[in-house]
Amino acid sequence: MKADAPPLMMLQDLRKTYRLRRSAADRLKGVNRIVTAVDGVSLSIQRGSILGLVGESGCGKSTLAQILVGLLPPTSGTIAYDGASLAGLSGEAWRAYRRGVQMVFQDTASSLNPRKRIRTILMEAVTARGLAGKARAERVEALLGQVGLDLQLLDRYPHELSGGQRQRIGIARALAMEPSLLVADEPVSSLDVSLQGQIINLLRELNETLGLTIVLISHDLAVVARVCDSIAVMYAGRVVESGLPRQVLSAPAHPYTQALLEAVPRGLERRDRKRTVLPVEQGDTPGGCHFRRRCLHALAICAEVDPVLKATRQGQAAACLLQQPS
Amino acid sequence: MNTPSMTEELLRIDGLHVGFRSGDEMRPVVRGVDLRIAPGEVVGLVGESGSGKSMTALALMRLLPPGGAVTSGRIMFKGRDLREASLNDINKLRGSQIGMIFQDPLTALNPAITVGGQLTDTIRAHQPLGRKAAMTRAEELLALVGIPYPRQRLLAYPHELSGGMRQRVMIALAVSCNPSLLIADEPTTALDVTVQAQVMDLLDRVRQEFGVAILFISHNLELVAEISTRVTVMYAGRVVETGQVHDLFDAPRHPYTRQLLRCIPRLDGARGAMPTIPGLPPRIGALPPGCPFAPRCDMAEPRCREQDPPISWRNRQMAVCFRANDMVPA
Repeated sequence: MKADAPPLMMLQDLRKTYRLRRSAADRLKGVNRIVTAVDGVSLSIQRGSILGLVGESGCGKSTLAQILVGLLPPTSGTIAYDGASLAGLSGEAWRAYRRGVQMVFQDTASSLNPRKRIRTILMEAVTARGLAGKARAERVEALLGQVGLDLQLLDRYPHELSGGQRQRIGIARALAMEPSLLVADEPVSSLDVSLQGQIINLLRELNETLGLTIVLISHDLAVVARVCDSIAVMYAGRVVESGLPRQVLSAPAHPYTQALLEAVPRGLERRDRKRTVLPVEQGDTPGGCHFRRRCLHALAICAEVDPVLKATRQGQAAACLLQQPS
Repeated sequence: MNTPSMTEELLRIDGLHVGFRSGDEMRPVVRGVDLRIAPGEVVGLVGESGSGKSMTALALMRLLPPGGAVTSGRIMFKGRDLREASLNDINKLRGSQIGMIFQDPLTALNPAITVGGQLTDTIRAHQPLGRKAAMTRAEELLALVGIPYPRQRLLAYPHELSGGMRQRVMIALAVSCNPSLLIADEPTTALDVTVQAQVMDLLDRVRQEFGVAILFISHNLELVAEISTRVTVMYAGRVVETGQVHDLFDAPRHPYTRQLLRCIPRLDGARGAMPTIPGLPPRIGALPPGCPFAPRCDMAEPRCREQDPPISWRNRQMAVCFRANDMVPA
């Protein structure tokens, strides 16, 4: 990975808000209720790298994934892909973008059509890429080989496959589009421990052999640390810490990252360990740092100043006042 | 197998077989499981999906899904055989003597009844308390499981609570009648790590406060190691290894346990490929001859694919493997 090469994708102050349905009382009072799922995310995704996106449910990582693959329009902010802004893309260029950025889903059972055989599912994807006849059949077989599956699975239905096999099909279907970016949203969290590694290793292999850029969304810090070139930790719609996995894990700068690391069960190493448990979630936190009410180190100033992501040292940045000289 | 004393046992399962009807035949999903739990003890039950760990727990509560049935074996709880008990007796046991927590608290709770309503229903079904006294008890329980503003929360419906809060309500329900056994089936799998840590702490507190024994079912070895005193590992419907938590995780005697331990990614920041177990677990109804793990085992010999492996004891650690004594620590 060349650090000075222009990134494949640049997100600038990306925001996605939803307006909630108003109750009768809200309408009378003229109140709008807005939920901010993604709250000013800026990230750059280096060509040929694996970026890990970590955070709890509701932190906005899946919304961000859907914006990346073009399933959701952002409310504001810009995305530049290969140097060109997405906002200005024509129909043809937009289709090329949609093709070039593919997604792998968490739930392998519901992301494949249960009434179609594997052959048909892959055939459709390959057809969309403009292949027909013999070339198409060959491509389907090559894809299956690429994800390490046997050709005899082609005539099966999704429910006849195991979760791990289905996830491989999901990956093969994405590869059929010859994407440059693969967004994998919790690709292993529904799989058994002994199979998780197989899928993660497959993604690594595709990254190495095809130069495929990957955004790996996961709540499992250990997995992310093992395969990613860089990681971004999200909390309440924002990136609160980013950097090189080794640094972020060994010296987390943001109290939320620290808490996440604390919470990872490690009974095999330290059986008698007492961990610091984060206080229970508090609901909306108006003004200041969004994490402050659960933060074990919060100061009075945290209620007033909204911290922005700033470098704490080479290769690491955090959005926390405690890390920044005032 | 003989055990030193019968009185020390709260639960004792011997040779449990569970099958599912498929056409004319019964397909085995649990194949001869032995399990013992002493009062106040936490036993971890580990295995992958399809290993039969949940079916074992459901069989014990007589809650097997349609088509499933216990085909043989004994389930002794406090000295009486639950297989012989009437459905009425089992109903009395559930909730009062044996509490349950499931993976998905949203589907386990009634969506149309308030938290307080569900708690008081359960309390009053097993204890001679009036509505008011039951409500007070319910509030105490919610406070005990760490729910802020317990009085207000009594009026909340399950969908109004977060996943972690719902699991706390489930735990409050499960311990509301002071059971002697708590079955927790993947209680934190659907939760975020920080919430998972809170729920694990709560389970441990509940154990200390109520002196309740826990059957902790999980595929997460780190969690099992954290809370259990003894561990049983299942594969393809069978117990492959059982022992004290330290012995079993420090020096596994079954290759499956050892290979499973190796798969757990460590947070040491090391980069590289993840260790895996090659292949797939066998499909129910398509079990290979001999040891079911042999096709994926890195220590398998020709005899492992032909004969059933023997039971091998060393001290208090049992493994079902030809090579249990050849193991080097992982």
